[in-house]
Amino acid sequence: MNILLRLRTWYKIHKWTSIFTGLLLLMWLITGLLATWEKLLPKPEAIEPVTFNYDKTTLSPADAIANLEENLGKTVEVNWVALTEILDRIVYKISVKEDKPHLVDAQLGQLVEITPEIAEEIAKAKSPTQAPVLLVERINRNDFSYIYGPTPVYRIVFDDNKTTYSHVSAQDGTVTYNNCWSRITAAFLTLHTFQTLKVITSRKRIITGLLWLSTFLTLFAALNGYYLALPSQWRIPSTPRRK
Amino acid sequence: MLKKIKLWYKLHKWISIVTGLVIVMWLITGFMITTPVFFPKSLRIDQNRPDSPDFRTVTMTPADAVAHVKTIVGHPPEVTSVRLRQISDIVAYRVVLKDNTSYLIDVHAQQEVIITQDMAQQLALEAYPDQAQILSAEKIDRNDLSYPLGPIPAYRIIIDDEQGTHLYVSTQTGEINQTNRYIRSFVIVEMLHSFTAFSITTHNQTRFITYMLWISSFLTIIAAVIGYYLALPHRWQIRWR
Repeated sequence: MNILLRLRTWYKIHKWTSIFTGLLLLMWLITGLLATWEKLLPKPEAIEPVTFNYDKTTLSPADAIANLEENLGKTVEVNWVALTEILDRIVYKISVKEDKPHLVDAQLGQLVEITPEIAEEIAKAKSPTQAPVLLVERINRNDFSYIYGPTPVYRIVFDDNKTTYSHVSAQDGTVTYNNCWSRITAAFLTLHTFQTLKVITSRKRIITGLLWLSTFLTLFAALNGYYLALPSQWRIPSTPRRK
Repeated sequence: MLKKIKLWYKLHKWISIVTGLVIVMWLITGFMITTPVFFPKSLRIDQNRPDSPDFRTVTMTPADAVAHVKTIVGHPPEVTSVRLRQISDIVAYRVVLKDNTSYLIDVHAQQEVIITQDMAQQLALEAYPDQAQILSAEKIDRNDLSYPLGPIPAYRIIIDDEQGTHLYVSTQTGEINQTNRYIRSFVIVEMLHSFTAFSITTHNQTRFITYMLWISSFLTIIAAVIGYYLALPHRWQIRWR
C-alpha cells in the first residue's frame, strides 16, 4: 500500500501509460488536423443551382410503370417511384421488389441504361476539370479511391495534375468527384475515426473492446496526471521509505 | 538545468490541465455512446408509417405540377428539381425553385398542399403509435439542442407521454422526425463527442469551430510532445547551460 502512495510511483505510472496512449492520441490529433485543413480555406463561390425544363415531362408515373412492364415483358411490384435528372433528361427511377431499380425517360418513355459512354458524358458535364478523359472502368466494390458510396459505379479518370476521379452510379447516374488531395484527406479521416480498425477485424465487439481498452488506459493516464497536478497538501500523504 | 526541467514540467502540467478536460470529455462521451447500459432500447422508435402508395393511380405528370406552380407564382418558374413525396395518405410533387422556395402539389386532388399547424398536429397523431394527447405545438425556425439536425422550418409537437416524445413535422416536405428524452440525451452526448454541439451554439460558424479545434489540438500536441521529452532518459535530454 505504501508503495502505491509514493509520488514517484504515480509519476512512473503516468509516464508509462501516457507513452503508450499518447501515440494513439497524437495520431488522432494529427489526423484530425490534416482531415480538416480544407475548412480553413476561403469558401469557393456558391455555384448557381441548375434549372431544368420540366415542360416536356408528359409521362406520368403510371405511364412510366406501364412502359417499364411492356419493355420487361412482365408485371413488376413497385416499391417506390422517384424523379431524377441525368444530363438534361428528366428520368423516373422505379424501385421494384427483388430487382435493381430501372430508369425510364419521363418524356420519351424509353428505358435508360447507364452505359460507359453515358457515364463519361455525365462526368464531363459536371467535371471541375477541363482535362481529357484517360480511362473509364466499371467498379463493383469500394476501394481506397472510392471508400464510401454505392456500387457498382463507373470510374472516369481525368488526365489532370490532381488525378481527378469521377464516380458515376451505374444504377441512377449520380456522380461524385475526388482528386488526390481529397483522397488523402479521406484516408486521414478513416484513421481519425478509427475506421481502419475494420482492417484488423470486422467483428464489432472486438473493435468496441479495443476502443474501450484504449479509452480506459488514456482516462487512467489523464486522471493520474490530474492527481499529480494537485497541490501537495491535497494529495494523499505518502509514507517515507524505510532504510 | 534543474530550473529548465522544472519549466518543462510546468508547461506540460498546465497545458495538460486545460486540454485534458477536452480529452477526458471526448473519452467519456465515446465510452457512453458505445455502452448499452447508458442508452438502452429506448432509442428505438415506433412510428406508424403509411403503406407505400399505388403509383399506378398517379396520372398527374411533372409538367402538370410545374404548370400548377406557375399559376400560384404568376410567372414561369425556374425549377431546380421535382420530386415525389408521400405525406400520410397524400402523394405530392415537391417542386423546388431556384430561390429555394418549394411547393407541394397533391397528385390526386391536383391542388397545393400547405402544411399548417393543424395539419401538422394531425400528421403527428397519425404517426404516433398509440392514442395520445398533444401537450403543445409551435413552429420553429432554427435548430436547437432538442432538434439539432432535422429540416427547418418545422412544427414541434410535444406529446403527453412518459418518454417525453417530440414530433417534428417539416413545413416544406411533411417529413416527420420523432425523438424522446433518451434519444435527445444520446444525440447531445454524440454531438459532444464529435464536437458538432458547438455548431449549434455558435450558429454554424464552421471556420470559427475549426480554428478552436485546431488551437486545442496544437496545445494538446505540444503538451504530449513535452511529455515525451520529459520521459526520455536524462542523457538523451538536451543539456541546458
